Amino acid sequence: MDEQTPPTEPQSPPPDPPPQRRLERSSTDRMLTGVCGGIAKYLGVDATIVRIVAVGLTFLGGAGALLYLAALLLMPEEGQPGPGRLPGLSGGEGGRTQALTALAVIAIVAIAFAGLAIIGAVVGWILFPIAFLVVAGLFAWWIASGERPAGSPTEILKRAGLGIGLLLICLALAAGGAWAAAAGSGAVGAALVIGAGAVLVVAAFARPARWLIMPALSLALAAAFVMATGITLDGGVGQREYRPTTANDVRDKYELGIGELVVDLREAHLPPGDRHIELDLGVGHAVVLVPEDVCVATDADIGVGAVDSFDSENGGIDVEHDDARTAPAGTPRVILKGDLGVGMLDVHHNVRHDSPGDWGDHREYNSFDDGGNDACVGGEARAHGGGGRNG
Amino acid sequence: MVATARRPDVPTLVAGLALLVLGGLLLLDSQDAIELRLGALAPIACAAVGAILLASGLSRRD
Repeated sequence: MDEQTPPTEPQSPPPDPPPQRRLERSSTDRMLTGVCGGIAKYLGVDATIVRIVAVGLTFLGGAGALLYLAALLLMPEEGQPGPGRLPGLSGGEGGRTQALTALAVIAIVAIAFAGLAIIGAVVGWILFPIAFLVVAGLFAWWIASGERPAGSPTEILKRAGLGIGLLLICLALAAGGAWAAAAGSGAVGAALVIGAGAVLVVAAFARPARWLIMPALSLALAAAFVMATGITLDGGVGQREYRPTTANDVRDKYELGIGELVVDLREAHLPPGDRHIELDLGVGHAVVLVPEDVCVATDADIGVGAVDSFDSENGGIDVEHDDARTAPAGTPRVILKGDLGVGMLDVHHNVRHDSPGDWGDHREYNSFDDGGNDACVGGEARAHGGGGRNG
Repeated sequence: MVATARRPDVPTLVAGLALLVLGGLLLLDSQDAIELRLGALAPIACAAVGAILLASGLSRRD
């Protein structure tokens, strides 16, 4: 019995392996050196996208320029075996030498960037403030004592130190005087100023001490400013938001020393008739929100700041804003008396909470809908002491 | 031995008197005798500082 071997079929040669992709500079798609074109070809994307990214990274901290330089040095030309060649480098060790050179260049550039950043930070955040402080101290001491910044460096530094100390004393006294005038009654502020004046008069006869003039002026002028603007600390410091839900919950007076005071009457269901509300804010931002079917008559008195009541604005120093409006029968009217020392009074129907400043539970009251005071039938806004527009 | 009266330091005296006047105005304002606003206070304060600087400059010339 013959054994027959089955005929073997002729085998086809194995297919060629796919060509290995190489990251190399393009010789056809190039604007400068072909780096971006080569990267785009390697990634299979449009070269324009790579170029846009490179330019963007260059302007955002300079990383794009650094990476471009590294790619230029490390990526070979299209069709060549080794990395890119630097001018003047060739031979068998060229590839390794160029790679090391590229790394060295990148390191030097990175160190230079970091060095510049450190120098800039030192100059901008340390040396410049110190220099400014020394000059301010010398100037303050010159004004206070009449001694010019002359002599040895030690002497100049000593006078600068004395001047800086004097400025710190002035700052502390100004803060103390302002706080005392705002926290106490008006007589307290006046007593502070009179006391400072009395000390100077006594010093003028007893022992000349001109350096006392600046601290005394700081104390007195800060207290006088607080008194003249009507700043008080009644009501505390911080943010206060009131949202009465019935007419009975609406207070006759809302007050705050420093901060943001928000009175939202949109859910208060005010009945027809007049409702007097007094707003007293020392320093900060006051916001009053009313329903669109409520007429608002605003009488605001602001030391330094502005009032924005629907479509009328007024701002400046000693602002008196009198928006006397009348309401038709059956329409509720809020008669608002605002008294602000330094700050801004906003009276509107709606607030926009979709501004970028909104985050978490904290609401920003910076953007409002410009609706008119349309529930009123007559009246006109009159402003004194500031500049603005009346609608 | 003759005792001589000591001359006051003029800039310090001017500053003290200016503050006494300013304090008096603020006291009147706090008692509602006058109404002192920032628009009136600012020129008064500037005048006081100017008087002090003037006195200081003149006294250095002596």
